[in-house]
Amino acid sequence: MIRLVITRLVFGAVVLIALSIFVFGLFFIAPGDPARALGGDEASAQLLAQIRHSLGLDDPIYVQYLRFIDNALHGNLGFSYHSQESVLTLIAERIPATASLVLGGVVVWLLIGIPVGVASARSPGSARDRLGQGFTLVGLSFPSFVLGMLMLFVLYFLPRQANFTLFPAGGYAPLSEGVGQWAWHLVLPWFTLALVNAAIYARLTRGQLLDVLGEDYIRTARAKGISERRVVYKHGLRSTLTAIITQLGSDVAMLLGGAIITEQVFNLQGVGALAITAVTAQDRPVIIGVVLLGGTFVVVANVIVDILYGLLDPRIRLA
Amino acid sequence: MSDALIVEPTGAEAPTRRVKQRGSGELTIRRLLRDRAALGAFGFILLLIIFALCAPLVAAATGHGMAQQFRDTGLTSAGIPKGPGHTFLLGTDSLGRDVLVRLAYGARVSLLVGVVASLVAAAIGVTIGTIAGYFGGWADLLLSRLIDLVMSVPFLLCALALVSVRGPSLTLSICVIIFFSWTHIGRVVRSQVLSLRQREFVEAARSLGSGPVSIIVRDVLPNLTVPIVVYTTMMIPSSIVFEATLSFLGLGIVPPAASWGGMLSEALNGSLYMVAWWMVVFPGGILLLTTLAFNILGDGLRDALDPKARRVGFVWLTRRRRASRSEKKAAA
Amino acid sequence: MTSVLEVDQLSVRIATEDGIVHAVQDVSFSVEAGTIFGIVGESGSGKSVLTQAITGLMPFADITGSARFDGVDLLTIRPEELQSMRGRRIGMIFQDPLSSLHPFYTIGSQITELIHAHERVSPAAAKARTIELLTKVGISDAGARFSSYPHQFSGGMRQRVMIAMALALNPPLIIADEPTTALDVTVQAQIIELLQEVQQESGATIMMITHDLGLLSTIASDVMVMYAGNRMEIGARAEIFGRPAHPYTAGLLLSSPANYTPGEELVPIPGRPPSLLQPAALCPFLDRCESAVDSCRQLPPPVRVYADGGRSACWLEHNAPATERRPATVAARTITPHRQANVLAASVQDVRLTYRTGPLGRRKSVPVLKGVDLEIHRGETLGLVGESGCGKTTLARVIAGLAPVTEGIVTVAGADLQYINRAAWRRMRREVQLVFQDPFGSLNPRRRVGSIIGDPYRIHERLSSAQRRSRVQSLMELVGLNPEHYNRFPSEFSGGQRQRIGIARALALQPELIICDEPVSALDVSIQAQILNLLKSLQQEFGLTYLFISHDLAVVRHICDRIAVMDGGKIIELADAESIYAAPQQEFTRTLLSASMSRPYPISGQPRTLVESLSAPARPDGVREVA
Repeated sequence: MIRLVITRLVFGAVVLIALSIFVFGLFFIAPGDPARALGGDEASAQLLAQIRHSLGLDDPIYVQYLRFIDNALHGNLGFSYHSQESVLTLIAERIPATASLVLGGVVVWLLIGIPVGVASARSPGSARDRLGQGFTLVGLSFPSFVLGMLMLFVLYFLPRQANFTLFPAGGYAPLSEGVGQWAWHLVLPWFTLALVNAAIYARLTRGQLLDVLGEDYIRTARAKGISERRVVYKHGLRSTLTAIITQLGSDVAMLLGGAIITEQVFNLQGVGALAITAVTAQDRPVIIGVVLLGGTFVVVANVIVDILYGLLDPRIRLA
Repeated sequence: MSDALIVEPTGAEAPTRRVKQRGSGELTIRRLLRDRAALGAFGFILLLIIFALCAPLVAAATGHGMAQQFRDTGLTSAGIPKGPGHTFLLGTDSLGRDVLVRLAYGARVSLLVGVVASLVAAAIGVTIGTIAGYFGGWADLLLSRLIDLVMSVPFLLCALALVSVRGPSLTLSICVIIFFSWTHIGRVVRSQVLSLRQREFVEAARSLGSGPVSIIVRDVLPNLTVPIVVYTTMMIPSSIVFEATLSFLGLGIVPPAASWGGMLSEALNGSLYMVAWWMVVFPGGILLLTTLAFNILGDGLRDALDPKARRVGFVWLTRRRRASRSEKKAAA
Repeated sequence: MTSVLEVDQLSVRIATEDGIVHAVQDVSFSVEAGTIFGIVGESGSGKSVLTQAITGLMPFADITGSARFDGVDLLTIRPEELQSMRGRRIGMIFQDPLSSLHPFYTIGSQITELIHAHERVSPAAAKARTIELLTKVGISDAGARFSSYPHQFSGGMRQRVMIAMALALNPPLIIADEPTTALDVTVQAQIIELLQEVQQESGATIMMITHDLGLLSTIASDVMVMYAGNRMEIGARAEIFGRPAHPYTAGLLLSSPANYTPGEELVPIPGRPPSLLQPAALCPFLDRCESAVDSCRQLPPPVRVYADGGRSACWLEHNAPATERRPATVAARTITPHRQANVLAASVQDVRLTYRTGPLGRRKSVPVLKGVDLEIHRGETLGLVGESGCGKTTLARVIAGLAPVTEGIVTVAGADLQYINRAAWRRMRREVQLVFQDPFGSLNPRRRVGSIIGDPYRIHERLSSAQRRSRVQSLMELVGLNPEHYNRFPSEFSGGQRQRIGIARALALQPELIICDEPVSALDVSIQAQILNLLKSLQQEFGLTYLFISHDLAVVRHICDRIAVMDGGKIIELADAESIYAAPQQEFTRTLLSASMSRPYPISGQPRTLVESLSAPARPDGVREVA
């Protein structure tokens, strides 16, 4: 078990290093010149050279890279070309919005997806099952930004026309303004982020649970005379959980992508929105910082998922 | 040879009705034809392909080019796009361009990207998965780690980074999509090949002296047709949505070229769609219907090719004894 | 004599994609209290479906008839009532204990769960009872093992756990569905002993379902023989085994290797079971029955009731005439005429094989072969017997050239395997071939049979496709397949036929040595005999050499000249077949022998007294009578 954790951590570190090299290297094949971006079009060659020097762009690549890594490990991710603020600060102030969105989204999709999948699996082929599968299919196919925009239209704009406010137009209300406000602003974004994934998980749960319910140990459980409900939840779902957790690990990367889109649609000033503005402004340090942060998040989440999986399955835990 | 060896008497089925054994290809087609949803989806996709191919015809018929801006006829005096009407069947966008025509050209982009990216990604995934699964050992170790690595990368963020460096373009979009899509099918193929490799018929082929390439081509791959076909079909809608997402974020195809995602992004700009609902409903709707159609088709194909995948709700018992016994022996 | 369970005209129909499968057709029987009632049948006979249908484990099936137990009809009571009877009044033991226990929960908690489901006891009391149960079934250190997981036990121990679970609430009826099939032979004997003890101590009634006639001949008091969903015969042990009335029962007994006597041929039952997609209008065994009379082809058989209480669904009024033994038509088996003692087909000398397993950094050495010496003479059949894990399969792979050894010399067809290069290795493939165990897994489901059998020709010879085709077709005829089925897929053949395909494939290039790795273990008993006879006759005709691997000493005895017994990676005994059976030297061989051989039941020819004949009961779905 311990070796599992160590292996995953080591691998995670490898991923991060690869990622940092990739991102860092990217900018050396970029056509733009940050010195010019900072200095403006009229800057003289001398000024440009000065800027370049102050940014440390004169040194060979590997030196720059090592300096960068060294800084990063000390918590310094550089400064935005644009606003001169520390990248770390910039990101830090955006995290609450993104975190609220992402964590809430995960909760919502698990709360919708798993029960729908279980309900379907308990009576395969029934009307309930077909309904569930229909919803799942539509949910799967709904691109999240389309859903978001449609929801805003129906649940914000139309009520607005009728002069009452059902849901806000977007924007993020920090917890300091009260949980109610915070949640109210996040309901639509949560559903936008969650619906596609809820559908995926409903389908996954249904498939896995049906497989599990065909296993011999379920037959034994029934032969023991315990209630069908207990058979499905305690025996069946427990085995399905491991598959769901594994999938969750793979989906973390997708989560971040979804967050970026949702932030755009609902105008949430989160890390994703920051990334988009940085891209348009060619603000390298910020982009590097965001990508690295995203990568770290994915790696950490994967390690947690792997550990959880090992804990859940005694065959691995006690190996 | 003694009589005991003669194969079953020809009258084996005689007193009972002959149970007709149908070929598997015929069965698949029958099942597919029975699935009305899949047929409907297929029909929609055909229509969409025709729509895309006829984009220039649509432009000619309406008299509106794809990038042509009609500021006087297309926009109201306040500069707001006009809704669906006589001249502009599906309305105009913020620059006075014909939505219908742009939808047709956008269909081209989506279908092109969707199909090309899926096919290439599938080819890569199948190759890598097969090599990793069949040869095992170091090859598997390295390739599995590679797959894990690529799957750990937050792809949209990386796409962002790449695009910011190279500038958006169609080729870049396709490459990015391929790069992040092959892993899923790679993993599936790898695990299937791994389990196939343990099957006795592969061992039999080896013991007959068949070389690895021959075994892969004759014995392994034919058993993979079902997952390959199904997963490739399922990848198409993902690729289409991925492209639309990239365009939506401004990272995809370069304007003024039309793309459904791009059209939606324009609609979002300044919340324009609130007053111009057609700017979101039509591109969003066609995007939704396209993904839905491909997903339904994929499901239908999977159910037709591998009916065991459709749950009937019970387990047929007889085979299990044999299977579990031989598995147990194999594991010994 | 009270009966604990009375089943009357039970029929079970299951809907599948291919149509409605009539898994059980009109079966009636009653089980006396305090006895062991055996239900025997081959695959597809419906024996498992029967018990699962009665206990409510098949909610999707269409079940008609009645099953009276504990004063109620199990088929008409509400599901909740039936559910409360399961575990409490009816205990069940299933075939594969590894997959039948939930891998994520401790065995202790799985047993206490059963107790808590039916009785109100404190967790402590339930735990104490469980530990007591575990000790009773022979699990040492039960207190500590309470918190162990299923994967931490061996197969035999897991089955003991399942037995403990079935006993927990002292049910009057215990249904054991193939409880020993998935276990090693030596463990099987222990489990059967345990079941007998349990039965005697608690006075419960056990229904034992199995395909193994030999097993039932030692412990069952009454036996019901099922075939294709129908009851063929039912009666007391002595009559079923001593004077079987139904030709199918007789056929099963004769074709069962356990009943083999030296010098005689195995008498298989020709043909294969009918499809279950149609209920049998006439006798289901008609097509394979060698004692069929004209009435059999016209009307369904009546039920013959005998003085001793046995019943048989047959037109014959007395015992099956097939009880007559056929004299051996094959030449005496002791010295095979083709055997050339001086010429070696293959040999291994002091061969050792060690696997290095485990992830990087913690490589473990697992020795599988620990110094094996063996010589296989040309023309002979050498048997290799052992339990799972003894290394016999690995040794087979080594001789076949598919697995490299860590130490030792392997010589096949005169060539030392260590020193040959790739090209020579490839050529050597012509000399040694394998026949595999699993008829379902050893043929590629996506390739046509003609292509599968023709593979050796494709790889090793330059033949035109027409030539190849004719060779394949003659091979098919040789092994008893219809050559017109050249273009079919494996899924269209039965298990026995697929095994024939595998044999044809192995035979194609007329190799020096054919290694048969458990070729009949996965087949029904009546088909096993067909395949064994086929192998023998092919050997006679072509002078083949076989290395025959099996876990079943009874099967091996019939076909082998010499037998090597393997245990723990070494060959512990090697002698002529009859010497092994008459005078086993090693302790392990003796254990193996006693566990696998049932006492052969003397089949007397004395006719049974017919008391009455009941006409076939009207089938609920109506029977078309063929004039």
